[in-house]
Formats: sequence, structure tokens, C-alpha cells
Amino acid sequence: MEGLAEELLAELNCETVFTIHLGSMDIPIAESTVITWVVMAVILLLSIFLTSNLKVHDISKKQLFAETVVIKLENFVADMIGEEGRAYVPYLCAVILYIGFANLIGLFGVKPPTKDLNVTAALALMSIILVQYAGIHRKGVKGWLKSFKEPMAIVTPINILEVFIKPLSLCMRLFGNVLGAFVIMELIKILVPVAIPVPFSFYFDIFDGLIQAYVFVFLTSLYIKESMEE
Amino acid sequence: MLRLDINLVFTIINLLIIYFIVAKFLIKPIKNILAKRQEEIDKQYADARTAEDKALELKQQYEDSVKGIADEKAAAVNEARAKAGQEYDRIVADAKAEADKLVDNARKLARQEQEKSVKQAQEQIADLVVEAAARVVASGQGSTADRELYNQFLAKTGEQQ
Repeated sequence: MEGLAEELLAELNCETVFTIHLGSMDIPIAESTVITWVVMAVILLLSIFLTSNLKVHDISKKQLFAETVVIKLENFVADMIGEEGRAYVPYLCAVILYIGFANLIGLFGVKPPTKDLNVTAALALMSIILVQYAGIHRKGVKGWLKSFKEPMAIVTPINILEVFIKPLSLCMRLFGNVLGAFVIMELIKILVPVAIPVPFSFYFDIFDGLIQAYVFVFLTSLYIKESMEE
Repeated sequence: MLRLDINLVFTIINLLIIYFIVAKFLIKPIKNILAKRQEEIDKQYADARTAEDKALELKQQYEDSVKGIADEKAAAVNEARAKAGQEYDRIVADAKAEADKLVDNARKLARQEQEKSVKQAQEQIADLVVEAAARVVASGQGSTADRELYNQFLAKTGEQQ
């Protein structure tokens, strides 16, 4: 039983793959960062492959697929964020692709990067910067500051707290879900390595992973939309 | 597991790179090709509209010319009819004049003939009267002879009539 706990802890730990020594500074590169590079490479290669040799007429199946995916994805995000937030659609598409790939990469026996708090915190930080930026961009600094008094002056502290709560909840929701799914999967894999993990993997790695990508982008676009409202 | 360090910054950089990749290598080319296709569709629509306008114009021209032809035809028919009417009137008038002339001639001829025969009869009667008077004068034989002469005269006159 102790062996199992140790094994589990080892699996849970985010290892430092290598360390860059820069003068007197040690810069640890975490597993999640390296896997993110892999995800980046996959997205880049897939994008280049899908968009190579594009034609106006007589399109290939590959191009049809690429067009369908891009249009569907864009419409999907644009529906959530609304017409005014069109400028933020590409970023949200990138995020949904990244989280989707990052969660699905667990299928290949790699630790998903979203299991690392650094990654989800970075994502949430980016989201909240984007949300506030959208608000400032839309209403100007004054309007943005004024929006903290909405709907009543008394709720101002809560509104300020929200600036920190929103990204924290985004970050922890994604982290917790992926970590929980990962722990359960590891437990199942350790207990019964054959056959049984397959249906669970379908749920925890594929379904839950994609749902979390969707939820993250959905909430971010919701916040952006909210911050742009007069 | 719960660590926050420099990798957060790396992840942010990575995210920005992913955003760049997706925007530049996935969305932009697809958008470009869709825009191109849209442009072409718009152009085709515009071309089709131009062609339609042209066709309508041609149709209008054609209809105008057909209408012109119909007008011309009607005018020609009217003219021909008028001409034919004139010709008809003229022919009828000519014929009438001719007929009148013929009738006149015939009437004149008949009258002349009549006059001529009346004149002849008168002349013959005058001749007979003269002959009879001469005979009466020549015989002078009483009333029997007168009667006979009278009878002869009557018979002769009857024969001649």
C-alpha cells in the first residue's frame, strides 16, 4: 500500500526536466513547459499541413476539413463572445486548441501540462488581463474605473475582489479537474492495468478534457462580454 | 504539483506563441481563401447581373423592333387597302360611265331608227296619197270606180304596212 502511495505521488509530481544555469541563476524547466512545446509543435505542424496548398476551387478533402474546423471553431467562440468581441476570437480559439490538445495528450501516457499549476495560473492570468483590457479598450480608463461602482457603490469591494477571484476560479477549476482526472486514472491504471482503464480514459481524458477546454473558454468569453457591457 | 515559479512566465510566452501560430498559420490562410472565394462569388453575381441587364436591354430592343414591324405592316396594309378602294371606285366609275354611254348610244340609235321609219312611212303614205289622187283624177269613172280605187288603196296600204 505504501508503494502505491509513493508511486502515485511520483506521478503527481511535476518534475523539472532540466535546469538552465544562467550565471548564478538556476532556471528550472518544468515538464509542463516541455510538453507545451510539444503541443505547440503539433499545432504548428498541423496548421501548416492543413493550410498548405489552399485553393479557391476544387478543394481537397483536407482543405474542406481545415475550412470546416476553422469556421466551426470561430462560430463556436463568436457565438459565446458576441459580435462586439470579434477581435478576441483568435486568441480564444488558440486557448481552446491548446487546452484541448494539452488535456488529450494524456492519452499518450504523458502528464498533461494543465496538471501543473503554473500552466493553469498562466492561462488564468492571461484571461484576466484580456478581460480587463477588453473593458478598458471599450470604455476607456474612466469608464472602466466607474464600472467598479456598478450597480451600486457599496459593491465596489466585491467588484475589486472579483478581479482576483475570477482568474483564481478559472485557474483552480481547470487545475483541479485535470488533476482529479489524472489521479483517478493513475489509480485505476495501478490497480487494474488492463482493459478497465479504457472506458474511464474515454471519460476522464477525452470528454472531461474537452469539457474543461470549453468551460475555460466559455467563462473567459463570458467575462470579456460582461466587461464590455455598458 | 503545487508550485508556481518561472515556468508560469514560460507558459505565458508559450501561450502567446500559440496564439501567433493559430492566428497566422491556421485562421489567416483559411480566412484569406474564404475571402477570395467570396470575392469570386460576388464577382460572378455582378457578372450575372450585368449579363441579365444586357439581355433585358436586347429584349427591349427586339420588342421595340417587333412593334415597329407590326406598325409598318399595319400601315402598309392600310395603304394597300386605301389604294385598292380607290382602284375599285375608279373601275366601278369607269364601268358605269361606259355602261351609261352604251345605253345612251343604244337609246339614241333606237330613236334615230324610229324616227327614220316614221319618216319613211310618212313618205310612203304621201306617195300613196299622191298616186291614189292621180289615179282618181285619171279614171274619173263614178262612184263604182271610186269604191274600187278606195279598196285598191286600202289593200295596197295594208300590204305595205
